[in-house]
Amino acid sequence: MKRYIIIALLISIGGLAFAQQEEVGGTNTERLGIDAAQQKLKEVSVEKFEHDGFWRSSMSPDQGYTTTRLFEGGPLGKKPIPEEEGLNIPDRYVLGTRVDYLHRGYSSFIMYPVRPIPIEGITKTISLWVAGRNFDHELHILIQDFFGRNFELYVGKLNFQGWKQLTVAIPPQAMNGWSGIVQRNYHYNNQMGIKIVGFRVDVDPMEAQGSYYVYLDDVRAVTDLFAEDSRDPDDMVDSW
Amino acid sequence: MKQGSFKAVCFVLLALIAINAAFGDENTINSTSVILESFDGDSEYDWKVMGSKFATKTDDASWPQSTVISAWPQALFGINREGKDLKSLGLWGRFDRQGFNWVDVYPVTKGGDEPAEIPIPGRIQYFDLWVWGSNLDYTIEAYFRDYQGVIHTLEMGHLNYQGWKDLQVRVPERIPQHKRVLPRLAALTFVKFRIWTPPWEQVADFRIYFDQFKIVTDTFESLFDGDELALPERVQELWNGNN
Repeated sequence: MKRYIIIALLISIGGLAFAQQEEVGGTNTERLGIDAAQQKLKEVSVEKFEHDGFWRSSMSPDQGYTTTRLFEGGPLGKKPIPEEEGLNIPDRYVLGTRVDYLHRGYSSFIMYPVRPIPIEGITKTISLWVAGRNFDHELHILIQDFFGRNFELYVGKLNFQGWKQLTVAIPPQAMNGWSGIVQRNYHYNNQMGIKIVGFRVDVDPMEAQGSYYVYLDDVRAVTDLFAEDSRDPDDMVDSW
Repeated sequence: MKQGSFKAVCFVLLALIAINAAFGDENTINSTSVILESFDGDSEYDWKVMGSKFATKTDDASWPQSTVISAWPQALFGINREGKDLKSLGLWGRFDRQGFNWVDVYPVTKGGDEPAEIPIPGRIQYFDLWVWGSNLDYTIEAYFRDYQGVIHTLEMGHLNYQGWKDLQVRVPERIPQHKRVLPRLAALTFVKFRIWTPPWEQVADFRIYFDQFKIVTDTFESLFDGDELALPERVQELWNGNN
């Protein structure tokens, strides 16, 4: 009897370890939201925070005020996208936001581009580098789907030191093509996908005091470019 | 009125006059009109253009493109009977997709590639730019950087009109141009112009022209004992002389 108990225990521990490994491995983008027969997954750069005045920030004036600007620098752990190597794409700046709280309490602030940032293809995951100063604040990404409907997704807590890359998976659209985050339009294969409309930080009320600094860099997406890349070279451009 | 009360009233009045005199020069203004860029090739800057993600690229060319052309607003220079060498900056853009595309028009050092920011003399009050529009519903913005490195965007208006038009904008008080510590003047720098296309407007092929970027600025600075030590270039000179 004892032997069976030990074997059962070993099996369950092994199973747990396996399950842990699956979780540690992160999101399997190959398996996420497969809704087409063929996929061509590619990591693309969405925003490197290189253009002055493109990002702003705001919070409720009851709670405090924010200042946003670009700073030279960046995370050392950032690896360039293979296709971008040697292209001399500028990557000098990061986005910095300073929040000055007026009083402690439940509050949040958003950092947003002045116009939505479209991501080509069917987006599977979005990642970005964040320096969050080890606060218990929570980062959310704000997106718009093909129909212009707003969604927010939880990215992670900012309780770490220095730079860290955070990743969030975009839930696949419902089978009926209307519910959830809809990314595909069967009429046009160059206008599908989602748009990024901002990042929101929900502030931990115990730490909402004084000044808070947060830095963002290098927003990337893993996206299915099959439809975009399969576009015929002789197909006309709808931009007139 | 009792004598004591009269004295008190006089004292208060004198104090008010003294306070007014002390801060009176805050309101002194010396407005000056300065042409920051004539686009005639006589400034220390060249102008470049850059487009957003979906700017058209073919095997032969890529857009946006810019060039200096012999054209000018007649409202400003007439028919140029004197035959002056007047120029304006031309911009030619194409995008593959309709949407929120943008084109940046920014200064670079003469003959260089690195973006350069144009320092603004004094405290800017108004700025204006002559822009030729072809009735496309684009918007144009001007970007200024304050002394803390924060960018301020000022919308100059829509380009949905025909021909040359002087787009004038007042610089609002919310943009800081002075600070508490010396030197008090915290001048802005001009960063770039940005043209936005809205999703409902065609972007297949368009041309826009710029001429005479001009500002009205207040160049008055209050004098005080030791104001020389608040002039950055003079301070540098003095410190260099000491070494």
